Amino acid sequence: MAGATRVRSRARARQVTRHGRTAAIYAALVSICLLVNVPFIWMILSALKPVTELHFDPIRWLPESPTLINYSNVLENQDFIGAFGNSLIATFGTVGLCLSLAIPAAYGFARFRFPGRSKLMYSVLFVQFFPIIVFVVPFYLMYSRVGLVDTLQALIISHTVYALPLSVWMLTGAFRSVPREVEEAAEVDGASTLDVLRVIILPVCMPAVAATTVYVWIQAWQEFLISQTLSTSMQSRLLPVQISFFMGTESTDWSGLMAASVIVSLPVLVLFPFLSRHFTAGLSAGAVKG
Amino acid sequence: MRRRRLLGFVYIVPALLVAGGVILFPILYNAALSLSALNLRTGELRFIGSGNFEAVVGSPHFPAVVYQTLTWSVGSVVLQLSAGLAVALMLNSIRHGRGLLGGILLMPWVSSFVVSAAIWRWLLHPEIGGLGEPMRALGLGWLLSNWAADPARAMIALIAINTWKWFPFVAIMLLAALQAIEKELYEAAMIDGAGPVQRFRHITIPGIRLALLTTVILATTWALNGFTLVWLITGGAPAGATDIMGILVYKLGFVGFRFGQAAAASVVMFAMVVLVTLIYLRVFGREEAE
Repeated sequence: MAGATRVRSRARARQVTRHGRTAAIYAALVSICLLVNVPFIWMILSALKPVTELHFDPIRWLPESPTLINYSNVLENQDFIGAFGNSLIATFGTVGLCLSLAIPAAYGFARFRFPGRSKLMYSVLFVQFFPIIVFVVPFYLMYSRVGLVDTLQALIISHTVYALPLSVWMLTGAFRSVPREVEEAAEVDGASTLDVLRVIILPVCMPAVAATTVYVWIQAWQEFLISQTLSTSMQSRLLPVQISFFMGTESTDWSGLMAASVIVSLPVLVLFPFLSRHFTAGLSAGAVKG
Repeated sequence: MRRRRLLGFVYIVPALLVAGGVILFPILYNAALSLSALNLRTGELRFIGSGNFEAVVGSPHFPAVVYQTLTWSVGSVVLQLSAGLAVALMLNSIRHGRGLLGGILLMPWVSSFVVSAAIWRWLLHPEIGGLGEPMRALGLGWLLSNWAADPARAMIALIAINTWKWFPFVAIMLLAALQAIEKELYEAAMIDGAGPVQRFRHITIPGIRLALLTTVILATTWALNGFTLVWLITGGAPAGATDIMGILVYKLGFVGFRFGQAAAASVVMFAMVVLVTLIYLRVFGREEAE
């Protein structure tokens, strides 16, 4: 009798410890997530501060008299608007071009055996090892020879090429995991390869495709070095470069910089949480099965 | 069957053409440039053998740059992996909310380099930065005063920011691998009386071996090839104390207009990455059935 009670209470004690430990882990994780995002909270709060509050002593995080004037300054800035528009075009253009190249390529790698396939696959990843600096001068020379310097097309091509290797990699991993029987059944029913792609592979691999899309979009939206080197005027000026101009060596318009940063980060901050679940799943599909 | 094999190739051709053309030319041109003197006016290359390499490697500043690059890389990778693995383990042990927390955690990785640099420069501003008060309250105010002029603190700040940016990505990659480990292995080990440390050493670590290796290689590559963060936050200051290889290449080319030497330096960068990767694979990849 007494023995059974002791066993039961020990089991209950173990359960309590387990609950306690789980709670502690949750608490730790939530704290980490908050801490990691503190800089963004600072960004948002600072953007609401009028310039007068910048030199308060001591520095306060919450604005005394929040204002939207920084945002209106930034949004009235013609250069900023121009760069924003350019970035939208360049980013969506890059996503479109990259996916239309990467999806067929990944399908080819995943489904067909041809000589040199594995070598080609690894050489695709090999490009990731090159520092992006290596491309800067040659790109400039290349594009000037075809008269494409300072154009959005040049940026779209460059960003696509930079995002292609990892995109193909992630998509190939995902496509390979689709069971062949389903595809073969469809082909017996008379489906063309395009149909197979559209109706079977893409829906099944939606997490990986979403992940790849997000990845390409982010890369293109925030790329800096090539965008800076290849654009000599507002015609092809992209947002990251435009924002870097806010950071002058003498005086920096911090409030304006923060407001601009918020605006630039908005699409990403809004889109990403929705897609993150698919993204993490897709990323792992490429990496683990790779 | 022959047709199927050729068909596969056809899918890959578009991606290959674009990637090949746009990537191969810069790489080859860069190699040629590193062995030549570039006439800026006419654009012609004059072969000069190893002159550029001698100038770069023989320059008195070069050893410091290599040392700084290694410091930056080792510091970044070690911290990213530690933090990433710790968080991945925590995320792996909870049952709900993994997707949400993971998404929130990824914010630093998702945000643009320019925005991140802007926020951190603002946060760490010695006089009016947001972290001033909290750090002074903790007695750490001395860390902030004029930190940008102190080589050690500048490097530490850079490594810390770089870690903040990348460790979420590492965490998610490792989390995916952790989740692929079969739970039964843990249960069997527990029944056999294995403690948490033993389970970690003999089940967890071997289970994520491949993902760990991949992640380490990627993290190292990105660190060794780094440029944008350092450029936007310190620009190599003070006096070149935070010059890493990428900055050296940029300064040689776009500040000094010595494009031949810049190209040579970028070849050295690439060699570093290949060397380190080969070392990793040799030391850690031996037991993998590739």
